Amino acid sequence: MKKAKILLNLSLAGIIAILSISLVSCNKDEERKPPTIMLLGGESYTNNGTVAEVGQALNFGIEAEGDGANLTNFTVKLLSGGETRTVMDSGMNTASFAINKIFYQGVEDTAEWVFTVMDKNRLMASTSLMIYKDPNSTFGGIKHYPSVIVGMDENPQAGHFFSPSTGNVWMEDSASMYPELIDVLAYFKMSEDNGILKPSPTFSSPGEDGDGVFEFYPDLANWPVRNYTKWDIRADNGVTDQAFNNAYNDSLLIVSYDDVWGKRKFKWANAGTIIPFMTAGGKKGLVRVLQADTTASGIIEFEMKIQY
Amino acid sequence: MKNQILFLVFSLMLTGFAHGQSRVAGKVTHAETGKPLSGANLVIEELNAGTTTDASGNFVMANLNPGNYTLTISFVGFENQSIGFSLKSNEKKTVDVRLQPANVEMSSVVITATRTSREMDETPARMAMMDAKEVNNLPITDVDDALQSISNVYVNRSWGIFSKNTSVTMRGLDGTQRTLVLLNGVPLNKVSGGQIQWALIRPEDVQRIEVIKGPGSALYGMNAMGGVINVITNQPDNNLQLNAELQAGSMNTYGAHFSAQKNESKNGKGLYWGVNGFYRQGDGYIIEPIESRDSTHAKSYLKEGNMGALLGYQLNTNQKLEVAYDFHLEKKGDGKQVFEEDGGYNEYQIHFSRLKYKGNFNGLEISANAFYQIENYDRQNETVNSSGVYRLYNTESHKEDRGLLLTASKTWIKNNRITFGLDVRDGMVDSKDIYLSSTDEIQYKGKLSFTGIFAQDEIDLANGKVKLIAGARVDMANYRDGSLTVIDPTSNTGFPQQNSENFESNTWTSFSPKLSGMYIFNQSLSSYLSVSTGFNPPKLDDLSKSGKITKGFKLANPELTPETITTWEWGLNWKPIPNLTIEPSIYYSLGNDFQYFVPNGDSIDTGGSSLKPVLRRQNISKVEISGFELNTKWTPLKNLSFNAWYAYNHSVIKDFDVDEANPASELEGKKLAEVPDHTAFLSSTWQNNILNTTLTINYVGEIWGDEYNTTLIEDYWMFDLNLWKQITPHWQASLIVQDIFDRQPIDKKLRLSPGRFFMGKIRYSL
Repeated sequence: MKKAKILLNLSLAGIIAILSISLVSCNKDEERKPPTIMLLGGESYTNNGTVAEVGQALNFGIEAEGDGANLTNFTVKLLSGGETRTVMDSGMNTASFAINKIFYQGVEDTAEWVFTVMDKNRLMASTSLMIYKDPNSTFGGIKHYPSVIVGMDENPQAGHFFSPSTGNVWMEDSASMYPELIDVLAYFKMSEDNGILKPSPTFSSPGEDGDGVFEFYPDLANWPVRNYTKWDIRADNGVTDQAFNNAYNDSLLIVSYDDVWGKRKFKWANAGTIIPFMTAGGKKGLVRVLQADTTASGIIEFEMKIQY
Repeated sequence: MKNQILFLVFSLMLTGFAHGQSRVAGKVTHAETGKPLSGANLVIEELNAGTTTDASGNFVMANLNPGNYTLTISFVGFENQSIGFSLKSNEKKTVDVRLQPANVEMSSVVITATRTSREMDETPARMAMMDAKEVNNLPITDVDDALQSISNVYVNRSWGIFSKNTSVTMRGLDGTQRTLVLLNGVPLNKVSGGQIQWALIRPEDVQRIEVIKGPGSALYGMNAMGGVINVITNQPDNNLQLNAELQAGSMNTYGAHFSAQKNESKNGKGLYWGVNGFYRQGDGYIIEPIESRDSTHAKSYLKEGNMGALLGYQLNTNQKLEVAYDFHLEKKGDGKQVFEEDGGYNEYQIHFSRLKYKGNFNGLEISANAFYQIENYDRQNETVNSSGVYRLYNTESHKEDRGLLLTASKTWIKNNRITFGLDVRDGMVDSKDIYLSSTDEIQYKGKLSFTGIFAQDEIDLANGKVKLIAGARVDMANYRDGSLTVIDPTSNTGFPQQNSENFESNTWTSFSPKLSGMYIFNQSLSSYLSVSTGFNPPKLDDLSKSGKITKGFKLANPELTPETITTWEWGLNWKPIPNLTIEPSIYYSLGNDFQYFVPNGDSIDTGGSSLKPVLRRQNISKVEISGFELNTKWTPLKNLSFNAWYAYNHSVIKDFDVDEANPASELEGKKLAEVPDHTAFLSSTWQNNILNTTLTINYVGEIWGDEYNTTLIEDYWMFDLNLWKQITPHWQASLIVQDIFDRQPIDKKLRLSPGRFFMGKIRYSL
């Protein structure tokens, strides 16, 4: 019976211990301070009040720091004509950061660029500057490739890699000699759409994130430079065939591409599809698919318009 | 206000019955050991009135008129005994009964099939029962594991003890919410979505598990489509029972369990109590297969604890009132970790309170259960997707479930036992997704309540050779206060704009009848036929919540209605030789209004590498299930037993009302996801002086991992072993080995199971 009492006491001690653990786990409410953010000035950066031509690179230097909580989100928004457009929305988890970001002047006459950081407590800090379009700015010229044929990953005859700057299509061995020039490649795979596997002629680039592209072109892993082209994946980007045909300068190319929708690849690039894109060098363009085979040994033929 | 109503109901029950002058009282004991027998049934044949013995074996039957009576006493495992006695006016007669243990295997009494005590062998349904010994002999680490030894119950605990959720499904149906799980008669399935937190129950605290196959909504209402599982926990007896256990196992897992309980009542009056506690933690393992691992994959760790208490009062031999409370806390890593120290995790905090009254007044058995369950869920989700996009968000969800279950039962007419009752249940959810790596904030709320009334008649015909059960239940449901609020959305959640939406209320009614009959040819052979119905209400999550899911972007659908199922079934119970039972069953089920996601043709960006389809869950399909199961149990020797079963299910979607604009949504002819066609199980238990052994072999056939039948998960065999030895009368040591051959089968998301897993235990029992 004595043993029983000892065990009973131990049992009760166990309950108290569990209760104590659960109580101790409660968090204390501490005073929370918002993060800080600032834009870097000087000749290297775009400053408040800058007048820029359409398509001109805007170089922003941003430094931000959390005050007791890590920074978890950074957004860049463009306010113009009563509308707000998010041009960057990035998750992170860091005590501080200092980055340079390059955006390109659009067709807006006046734009307020707002840079905002949020910390883990969802406290925010913002800073902004005004940029004006050069009234004498003219739209830039474009290159037009009426027909480009690239082979899918298992096509032994047609090159898989395309350089918009030179207009060349290369096989893998040749392309590896000019990796800095390659912005477009193609492959074929079955991709799941709404639970159904569908044949997907796919546009991508050597810099496609993750290991997906290595499945088709394993030697890319050895390239010293892998350009990353972003493809606007919206199903309805508003670009019509007529508008594409009538694009003689880069105005349509600039407004068609939305970086928020820019992803690493474009699936189901079937004939008739028009796809806005932006290369690693900031060149915006449009691709219209003329023909797309649904086999890995097939080809994809397209028409391209891209900024000079 | 609700507490006051509850108190009033109980007060009425306690005071509404008068007591007479003449009475018979006594004690029922084991004829060989002299120990009191708790729970023995006593019936005065002439009055069709009965009672049961208390924890001390005592009984009292009061308010009797003078006359000559026959008292029949029965108890599982003992031979029935009938005693004649006469009562004079105001006489208080004492009858002590010594029951002889039965030489032949006796039937078991179950309470789940009819909400009354009933011989399992005489119930026209396919049932299974496991007692505490059977449960604890199995090589299991959690209570749901034990259910895989019951035919046609498919337990999916793919990450072993590190699993966030266990799925227990039955009879060819998928989805946890389509099986009703009770804890001492109180539903564990949440009204909000049918989910069950199995971790509330530890196998060490189980007295027995009863499983009723096939739909049971005629008696229990919602969720009882595939079947009903009732886990009954230990009840205190007159001896102080103490158990303490230490555990240590693979992956740096260790834990402890204790329980203490005692019934202090004397002469049918007094307190009884019990406490229990449990703690376990482990480092876990990386669930991602080696070939697809990257630096963000981390171990799925585990920390969990339980604490429970029971306090009851035996008012007299016919009435008792008890309160019980269980608390559960757990935190489990989800296998991803980028920057946060804890990575992604799921954290639950559950409070489960119950109040129970049970009374017997001249054969009128009354039970009332009130319960209140609170679940606070906190999920931290931390990922980097294949595009390199980092996401950190928390889900904070608060769910409440409460209910009152009232049952009355009596044999008013000879050979007709009438049971009727009223169940009221109410559930709510208030959930927030708060993104920390973007500005999004999504909140949804909703409430769902049910009122059900039921009646059942258990009829004996042809001198007990024919058993019929007819019953029906009507449930009225009300969905209300549904709302969705979206603040500062980005492509991380896919909402195009801020939104604040209040959904209209919705009501529906479900009617669930049941008819079953059994013919008992002789003690060794009986056969049953039944037709039964079940229903499953829509989830609050589907009624009120829009948002990103794995398959796409889901839109709330407040107009959803319940799924229903009707099952026709035939079974045979055969004992060709003593200690061998063979039980085949065949069944056909037709489900209506089953819910599936249907795309509306839109696609939106949810931050992944491609646009996601917009989906809405709809009552859109019929489901057809044809099945067969065969159970055998053989005990050739006192210390050697075998349990083997095989089950086949052919579960397909038929008559899918496809949207012509979206033929991609077509599911007609597809197999139900996560339902294996073939499952089989074999266990053998050998007890001896050297080392007791239970070996189990579990076969799970191929399953489709998704409803479009694109991912086929391979079949597998699983071998588990439990070795244990009673070192002294108080000390026991055991070693459990799961997945002996380290097969590491994968789950529907292609994640790995733990592989070979050891768990050693040392237990002290008093």
